[in-house]
Amino acid sequence: MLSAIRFWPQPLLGLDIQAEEIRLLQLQGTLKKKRIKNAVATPLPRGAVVNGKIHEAETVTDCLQTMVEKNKLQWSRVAIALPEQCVMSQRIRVAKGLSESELEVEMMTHLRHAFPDVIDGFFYDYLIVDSSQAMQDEVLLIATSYANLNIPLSVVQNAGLKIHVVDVDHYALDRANEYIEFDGIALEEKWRISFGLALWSYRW
Amino acid sequence: MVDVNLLPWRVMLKEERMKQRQCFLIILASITLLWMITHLGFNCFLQAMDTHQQELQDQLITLSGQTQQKQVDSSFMMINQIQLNQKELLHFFKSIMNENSMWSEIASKNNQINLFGMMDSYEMLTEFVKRYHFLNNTNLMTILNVKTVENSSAISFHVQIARAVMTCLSEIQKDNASA
Repeated sequence: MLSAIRFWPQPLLGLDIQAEEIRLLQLQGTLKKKRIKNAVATPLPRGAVVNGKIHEAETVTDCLQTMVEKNKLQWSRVAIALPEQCVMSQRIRVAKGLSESELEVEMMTHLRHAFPDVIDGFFYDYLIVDSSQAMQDEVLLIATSYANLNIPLSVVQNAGLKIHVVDVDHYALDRANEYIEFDGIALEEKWRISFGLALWSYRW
Repeated sequence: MVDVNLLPWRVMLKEERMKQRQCFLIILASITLLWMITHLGFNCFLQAMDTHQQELQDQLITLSGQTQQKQVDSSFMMINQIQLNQKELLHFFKSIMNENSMWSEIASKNNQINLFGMMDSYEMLTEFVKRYHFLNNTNLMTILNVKTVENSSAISFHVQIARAVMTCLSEIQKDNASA
């Protein structure tokens, strides 16, 4: 989807909110010679985040705000990740050669048909993953409900950050692993999601 | 590798492009407007300059016409004056020829008229010159020579008068040349 790759990073922090701590990671350097500029973490009280879902929004906001102020990161742009269990992903076949708007309509129709109970609406994105067939394209549709994303959005914004990207944790992890394998960077396991999110700096 | 952003980035991208397009159109319109204002202003300025120049030329033509008219008027006045002077001079000479005087020669040379003659007395000559200057103050009469006749109060004289018409014509020619 985001084909344009930047050689110089846009300042974008990878923010990973896990059960035990919040992690912020920032990269710098060119696409080929990137390095970690900043990596900070702050512990969270038990029960604030359970299974990747924020249960105590105020506590998480306070912790994040303290972390942001301490590191002078107010109004920084961040990329966050939703846990895999909070998003729906489907592979759909669509007619080949649809325009952008036609594809958009197709995705919306599919979402409404697949989830008639969701009233508020969706956050969603899609990308063509396979266009090798003659008549059809395979599209990966990722979606989540407003309810799943509203809390993380409000927590991050109340802490003084600006959300620029909402990713999915296992996609961020895959991306991080791929880059680590390619570049040979030594990075602790726990930082990988935030690293994968920070890699968005080099994309649109 | 899957890169997905669940935020409505497509909508934001559309809005951003629309803003860029609007911004571009505003800049284009501003430049066009500025160009039009400048162009029109310049044209107006040129027209005003042309009009002003035309007015000045008209004024110049009027003034030069008035000047020429004044010169012609003054020339006519001078010619009239000269004619009057000439008539008066003739009348004057006629009147004094009847008195006790004798004109032996009236000679014209260049712009001068030379008068030779005799009078009864020197006082008569001075009176004659005075009267002449009273009647004609533009052409001076100069007494060049006075001699007394032996055993008599009579005198012989030689006076010179600048020829009026010639002098006046030369003055008119000078005026025309300077104008």
